Amino acid sequence: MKSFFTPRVVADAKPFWQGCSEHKLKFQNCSACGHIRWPASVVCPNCLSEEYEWKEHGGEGTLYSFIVFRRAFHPSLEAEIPYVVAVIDLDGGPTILAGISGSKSEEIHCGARVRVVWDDDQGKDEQVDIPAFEMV
Amino acid sequence: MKLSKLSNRFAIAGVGYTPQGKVPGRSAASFYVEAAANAIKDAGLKKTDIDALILYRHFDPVGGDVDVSAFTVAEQLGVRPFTISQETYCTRTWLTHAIGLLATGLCRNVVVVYGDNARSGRRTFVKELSNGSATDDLAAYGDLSTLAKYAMLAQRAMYEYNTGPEVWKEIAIAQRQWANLNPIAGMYSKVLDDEGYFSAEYVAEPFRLLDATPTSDGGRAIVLTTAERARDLPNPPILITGFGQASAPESPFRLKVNDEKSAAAVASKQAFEMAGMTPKDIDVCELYDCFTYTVESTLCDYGFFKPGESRDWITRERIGPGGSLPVNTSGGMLSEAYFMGLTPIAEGVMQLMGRCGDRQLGTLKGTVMPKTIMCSDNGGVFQSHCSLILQRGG
Ligand SMILES: [Zn+2]
Repeated sequence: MKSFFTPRVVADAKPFWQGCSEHKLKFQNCSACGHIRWPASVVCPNCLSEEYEWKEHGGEGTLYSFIVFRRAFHPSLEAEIPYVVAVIDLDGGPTILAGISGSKSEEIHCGARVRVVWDDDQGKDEQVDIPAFEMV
Repeated sequence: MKLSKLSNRFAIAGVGYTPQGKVPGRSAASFYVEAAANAIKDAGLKKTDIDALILYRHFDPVGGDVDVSAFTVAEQLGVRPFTISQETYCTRTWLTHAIGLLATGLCRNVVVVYGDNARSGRRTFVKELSNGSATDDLAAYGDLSTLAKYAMLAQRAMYEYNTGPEVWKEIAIAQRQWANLNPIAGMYSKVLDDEGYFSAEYVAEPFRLLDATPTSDGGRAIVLTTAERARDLPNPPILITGFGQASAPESPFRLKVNDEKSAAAVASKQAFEMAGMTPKDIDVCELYDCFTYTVESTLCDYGFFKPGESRDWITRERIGPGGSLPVNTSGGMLSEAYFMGLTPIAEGVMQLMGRCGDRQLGTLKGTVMPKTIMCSDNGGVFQSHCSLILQRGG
C-alpha cells in the first residue's frame, strides 16, 4: 500500500525501503547467530555481531494485534478513517507494523495467519511503498 | 547489595500543587516553578536547602510557548543546586537519580517537578509532523498517537485474557467516583455511569475517549530527602519502604502482553523484595493511568490478580470509594489531572499525611486509614517503570 506519510529514512534502514520499492521485504540477517532484525542496526541485538546480510523474508506471519483508527490524528488522514494498523509477528523474523488490506475491520482478528501484499501501481507516483498484509 | 538495606532510608517530605485544570494565559515553565516553590515551602525548607532539581521530560512547546529546561526553572526559582537535570524521553530516571544523590550524601534535598500548559495549548500527543514528513516510520502506516500504541496491547489482552471495555469502564467509573470527592479534580462535578462510558466515541478501537486521560494545565512537585532528615521537618515523613525501577525499551509494538519481564513486573518485584512485602500487604494503589488499560495491566503485573482474572477482579466496588483496594483516590490522571507520575505519587503522599479532605481514607465512610500505599510511574508505552511502596513514618 501507499504510505500515509513519507517515512524519514535513516541511513541504516535504506536497504529496507529500497526493498519495499522492489516489493521485497528485506531485513538484516545476523551472519553469526542467524537472528533476523528490525529496526535496522549496525549490530545484532542478540549477539552484538557486526556481520550481517540483507535477505528477503518470505512475507508470512501471524497477526499479533491491531487497532482501528476511528479518529484522524492529522487532517490529511480524515478521508482514510476508519483504517487498520496491525502488528505482525513474521515467521522466524522480526515483529513489524503494517496495514491490512482486503478485509473489513470486523473480520480481522488476533492470531490470524497473514501474508505480505504490495500495490500494483509501483512507481506511479512519488510515494514510498510500504508492506501491507492480507489474511490467508 | 541486599535491597532491604535501602528500605525506609529515604522519604518524601513535601508536595507542591498549583492551580490546575484549565488555567489559561500561563507558560508551561510557570507551572514547574510554582509547583517546585510550593513543594519546597510545604517541606518546611528554604530554597537554599535544595541541592538537586530534577525535571520530567517536557514535550514540544504548544500554543506559542517556549521550551522548558532545568536552567529555566532553576533561574526562576533563584536556586543554584549541586545538580540540575531533565529527562529527554520518558525513561523515568528521576527516582533512582534522586535516591543515588541522597544515598551518597552528595545531596540532601531533591526536588522533582513536572508542569505543562497542555490544556490551554491544546496538546494532542500526536507525533509532530514537519513539512508533511513524518518524523518516524510508524507514521507511514498512519500510526500517529501514543493512545494507539497502548490500544494495540489492550486489543491483544482482549484476545488472550478476555478483558475489554466491560473491565475498563469499571476503572473509568471508579476513578470518576473518587474524582467526585476531590474539588481540584477536572471531573469533580461530572458523574459517569455505564451509559456515559459506552456512549463515548471510539478514538482508536478498542479505546474510547473515556479510556484516555484528558490534558490539563498545572504542575506538581515533590521533595525527596533522607528519612533521618525528614523526621526533623514539619510534615510527617512519608517513607519509601520499597522502590523499583526497570525498562523494556523495545518499540511499543514489539512488546507483548503479560510479559514476566515487563518493566512493571520487574520494578514491582524489586519494590516488594525491598519492603519484604507482597500485594497482600498493600492497602491502596495510586497508579500511573494514562489509559484505563494501563491500570489493569499494572495491577496484573504487580501480582494483584493473575492474567485472565481482571473481569472478576476489577470492579468499582473493589477499587472505588468504600472498596477493599482503593485505586487512584484523587481520580487519577483519567479524572483528576495529568502530571505524569507525580499525579499518583503526590496522592499517595497526601493520603498518608491525612490531607485529602472528603476523599481522605479513614475519614470517608466505609474506609480505613491506610498504612501502606503502592504507587507507580510509567514512561513511554510500558517502556520504563518505577514502583514505590510508601508508609508513614513516626
Ligand atoms: Zn547475532
